[in-house]
Amino acid sequence: MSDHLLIVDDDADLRELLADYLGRNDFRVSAVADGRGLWAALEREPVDLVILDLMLPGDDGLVLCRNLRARSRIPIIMLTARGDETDRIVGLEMGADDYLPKPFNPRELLARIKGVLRRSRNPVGEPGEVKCFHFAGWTLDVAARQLVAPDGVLIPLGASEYRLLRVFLEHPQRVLNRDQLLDFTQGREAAPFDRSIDVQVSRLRRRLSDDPREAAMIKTVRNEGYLLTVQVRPEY
Amino acid sequence: MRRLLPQSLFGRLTLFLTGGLIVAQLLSAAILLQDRDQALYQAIGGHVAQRIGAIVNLLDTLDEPERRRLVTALDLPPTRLSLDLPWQTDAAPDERYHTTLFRALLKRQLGPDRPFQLEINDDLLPPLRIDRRPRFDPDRPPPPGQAERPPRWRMRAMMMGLRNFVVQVRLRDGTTATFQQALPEDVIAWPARLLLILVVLLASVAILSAWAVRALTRPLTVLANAATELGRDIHHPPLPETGPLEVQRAAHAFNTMQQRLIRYLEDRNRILAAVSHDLKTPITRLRLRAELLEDSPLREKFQADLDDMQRMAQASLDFLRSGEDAEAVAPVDINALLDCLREDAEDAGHAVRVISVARQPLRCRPLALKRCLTNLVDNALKYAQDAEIEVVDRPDRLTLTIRDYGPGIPGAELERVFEPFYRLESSRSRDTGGTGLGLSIARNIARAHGGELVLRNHPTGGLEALLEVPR
Repeated sequence: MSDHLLIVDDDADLRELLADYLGRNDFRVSAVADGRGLWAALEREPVDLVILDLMLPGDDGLVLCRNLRARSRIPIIMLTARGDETDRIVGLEMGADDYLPKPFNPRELLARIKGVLRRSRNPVGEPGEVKCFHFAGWTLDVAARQLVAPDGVLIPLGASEYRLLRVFLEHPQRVLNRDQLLDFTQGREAAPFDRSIDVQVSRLRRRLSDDPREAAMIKTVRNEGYLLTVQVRPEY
Repeated sequence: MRRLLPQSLFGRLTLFLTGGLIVAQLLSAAILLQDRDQALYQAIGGHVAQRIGAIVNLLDTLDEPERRRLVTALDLPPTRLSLDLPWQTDAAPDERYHTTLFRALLKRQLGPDRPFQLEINDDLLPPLRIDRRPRFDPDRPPPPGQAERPPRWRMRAMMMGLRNFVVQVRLRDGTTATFQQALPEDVIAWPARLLLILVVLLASVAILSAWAVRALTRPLTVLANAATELGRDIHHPPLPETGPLEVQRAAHAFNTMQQRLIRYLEDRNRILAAVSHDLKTPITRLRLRAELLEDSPLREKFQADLDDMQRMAQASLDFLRSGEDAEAVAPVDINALLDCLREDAEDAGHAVRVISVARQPLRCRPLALKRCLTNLVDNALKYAQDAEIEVVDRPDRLTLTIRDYGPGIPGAELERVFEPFYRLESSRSRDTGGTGLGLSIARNIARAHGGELVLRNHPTGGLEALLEVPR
């Protein structure tokens, strides 16, 4: 049976178009205009994923997101026309699984929906969304996508490095081969120019000032792949 | 003449005030001195004439030895008396005011029929020598060391313009009595005190006027500084509306202007934000509609147009936000940031070389700074295949120079390309042209960090963007 998506957006045209588009891509789609409609739809039948607009009449998307997260684990993708960095951070902190600024490419939305659904089916093992990962004195702020070194200095990360680091942090002390890494990193937001995993790993090591010849954080396991050696403490 | 004037208003006002004061003081001092001169002549002249009259009358009644004794007794400075000097025949008739005055005084004392002659000389050496002491003898060479030095009282005379009176009176028996008188010491000292008073007065007035002028011109300086600050930060705190009425009004007018500017900018930003923002939902709808089109070439054209529209809307919003400081400031590893930029460029098939390193993290707004640098690198790579970023780390500021080896920009356009939506003629076409906001955004971010961003053509070709951020 196809997945059931629930669209919450106050723009009737957009609602209809989205429903049409997603319907053509083998989803079952319901669409409502606001929070009241959302709760009513959830009462009626089970929903696999909610696409939630940030700006809504009555309770706005953030409030709905928080309330929804409080009562269920239904995956949420937030849409917003504001496209603000702080909006993204707040949205993710409110428990949204992903975030997409308007105007988005419909195919990107499709990819995100699939990614979020896949992740919700194969949970990494932790309940709820992780806010931060702490490891060896370092902190990766997931919402803000910022890596902070032990001395408090912020280390900028490229998109692919961020994704790779996150995969390592979600699977600490486990050998990950190149295919797994590629699969995990591509599963989120595929970038057009992704380098080979080895290049990405070497870049990430540089960011972490990690020397592979010494007792490294990311260790190369010959003929197998890579291993994050340090303890990771996720913060929810 | 104009070149001799001081450049600052402060300098000019001080010059005019002090200069005018000096002239006024000198004039009044001259008048005062002249008046005093006359009064002194009246008083001293009367006294001297009386004395000469008395001595002449006494000498007339005495015989030769007694005369000698009397002369010896009376010949004392400042009045010298001698009976041995010949009648001066070459004394030129002197019709000056003082001389005439003194001659009248003498005539009254000596009687109308007594022959006498008077010389008042301002010269350094008296024409008559009544003292035979060696230092007054011009025929003998003066002792070594004193050659050029007139005696002390004469020095004073020289400086003060002191006069010698020389009066020759014919006694009844035909003997010539010669009187020579210099003005007394305490009278000479008087103008020196006057001069001291003048100097004190002048100095105090000069200091006072400098202070007053400074106080008056300070509001102008404050106003100029405020105007400069306003260019940098429109929300600069308003000027205090205090001080003299004119200054209050200027400050008030300035503050009103600032309020209007802020309102104008807010209106402009609101309109631009509303337009950009409200475009997003229609663009999203259009994207979905395009996606539903069956005709694939048409769909792709639609999508390309939508990409353009979306880029414009997003860039406009980015531009509006670029001057804000919504993001928190944090220490950022600049070397890692430049590494990221280099790798991103590499992934897109460009080479970016990073020269030198930052010695310590920079406190800045991480995403904003990254956006700024990304825009600069993108701009460089738009016109050239390669770019280089040079880091110069000083204790007070960090300078990043992004250089490309492209064709550069005509000198007249170097500033204009920072204007929002301004594009070089050569980049108007859609495939090379961006939104026309990249550099405006970059400069706004630089300025929001208290820094500056300028472009210049490198002497050996290519364009250089200089980004300077204070530490």
